[in-house]
Amino acid sequence: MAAVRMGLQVVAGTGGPDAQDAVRIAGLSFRLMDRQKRQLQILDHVDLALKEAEFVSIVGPSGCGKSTLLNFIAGLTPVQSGSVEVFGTPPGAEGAPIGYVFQQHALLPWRNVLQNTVISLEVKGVGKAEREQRAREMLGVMGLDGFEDHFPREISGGMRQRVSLARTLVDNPRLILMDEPFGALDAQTKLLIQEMFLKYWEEHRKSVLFITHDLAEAIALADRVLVMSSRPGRILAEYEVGIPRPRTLDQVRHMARFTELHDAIWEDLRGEALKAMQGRA
Amino acid sequence: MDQDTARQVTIVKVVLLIVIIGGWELSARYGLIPVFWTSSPSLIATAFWESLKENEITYHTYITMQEALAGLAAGAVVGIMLGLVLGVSRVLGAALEPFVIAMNSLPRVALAPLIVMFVGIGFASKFLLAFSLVVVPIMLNTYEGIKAADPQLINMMRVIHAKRFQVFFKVLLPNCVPWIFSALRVSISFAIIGAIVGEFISARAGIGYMIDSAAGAFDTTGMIMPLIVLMVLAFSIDRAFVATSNRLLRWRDEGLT
Repeated sequence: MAAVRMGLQVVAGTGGPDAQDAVRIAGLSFRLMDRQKRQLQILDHVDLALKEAEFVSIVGPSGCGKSTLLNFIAGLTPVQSGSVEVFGTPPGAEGAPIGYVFQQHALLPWRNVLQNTVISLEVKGVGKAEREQRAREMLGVMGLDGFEDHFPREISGGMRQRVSLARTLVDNPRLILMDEPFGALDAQTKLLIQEMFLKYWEEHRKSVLFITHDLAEAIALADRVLVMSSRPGRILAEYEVGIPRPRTLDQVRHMARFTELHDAIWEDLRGEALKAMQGRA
Repeated sequence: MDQDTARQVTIVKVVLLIVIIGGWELSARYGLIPVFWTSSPSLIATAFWESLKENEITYHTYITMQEALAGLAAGAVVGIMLGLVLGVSRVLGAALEPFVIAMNSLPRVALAPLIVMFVGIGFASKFLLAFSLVVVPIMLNTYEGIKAADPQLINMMRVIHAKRFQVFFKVLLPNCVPWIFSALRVSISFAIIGAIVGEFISARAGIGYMIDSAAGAFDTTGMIMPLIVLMVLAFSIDRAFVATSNRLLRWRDEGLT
């Protein structure tokens, strides 16, 4: 990890090789051909390790390949060069305990809330009674009791995203990939869902890789924040958050450590965000 | 649409209907338009009643609808099957697409004489003509419905390790249902066109035959009456279809109107 600049009181031992790692990525690069048949470097030698039960946020300018990174881990995009391991096996392996919360809720519009929530259990062949009971419980955790029969178009954006979260969590994944899951929500809804998810996570401690462009969200939820550069995406810096848990969002935001991290990460990000913006214009 | 607007629309509809039929009847009575060329609502109503008593209009309507609906049903089954196969198989779909579109750009009505030559002037020629008008649009729409499936949904299914057949039955197939329904809706009138054109070419029964015979006798009323029966019938089928499809597709943002 030569390219990584360790920021602010890094706790030793992060990212080292460990049998318990949920995700281990080494030297991952990715190129695409654009429409003019030019090579486009999307990712450039990304190294990353996510420990079991660790919550890591990745922030970076738009178009830096954050989502591409998740697609590699989920096995949706085949690896070109470098290596990706999920619980020690290649990505996309049969039965890999991965959940993926997409930026857009990705609910099946013709299924009601309950039918959407059971889909992963249904695909696995879990019996109807059991899967519906588990789904109802998870919908209850997400505060969605009484909405089981509604179609996605009949509920609000925040509720759809909670259904999407319930659908992912009901399968009890060991690793959760989250691609700007709360990015499309209004400020209040976002806060409430963040709190809900934070509480759930602190109880269950899954491995989470959380992509966002919201710095405050990245810091408040995660154990560690990785900063990615503008395209080609590299890991630019790494910050250990070090705010004790259990956390509550309004308290976290007033801590000196929060402000300190926010300033430091924004310092890293500002230049990259500008580059990305100019690249677009 | 709020309730007030809905009521206004209903009132305007009824007024329009009365004005059209009333205007037509009055102009015919007072000699503003020649009854020989345009008939009149009362003449048509009388002719309809007479024909009903003779069991003539019912018989011919039955023949035509039988041809059209059989063609529609067969065209739907074959079109949906072909569309699904094309949509699921990347290679086959891309390879056959230009052929299908070329077929579709052919005015199928022009095939009528050829079809009659092949299978004779009975039920088969009308059935095949209706079928040929219906099958390609249904197939193309089914194919589009599969292609239009949100890639995000397919990614979601892959993340939960869904098998190919599960992706097909849980995502691709439900995704084409609205596409198939809208194709079926336009196909109702296509199928009737097919049956009628077949009857024009040569037939012993059916609405097209009735119109053709009346035309030979310069009987305007005899030509318009079956047309109106056909119109009312096709309109009712369309309404019933829309109501059914809106009930089945309750999950969609907006229904058909």
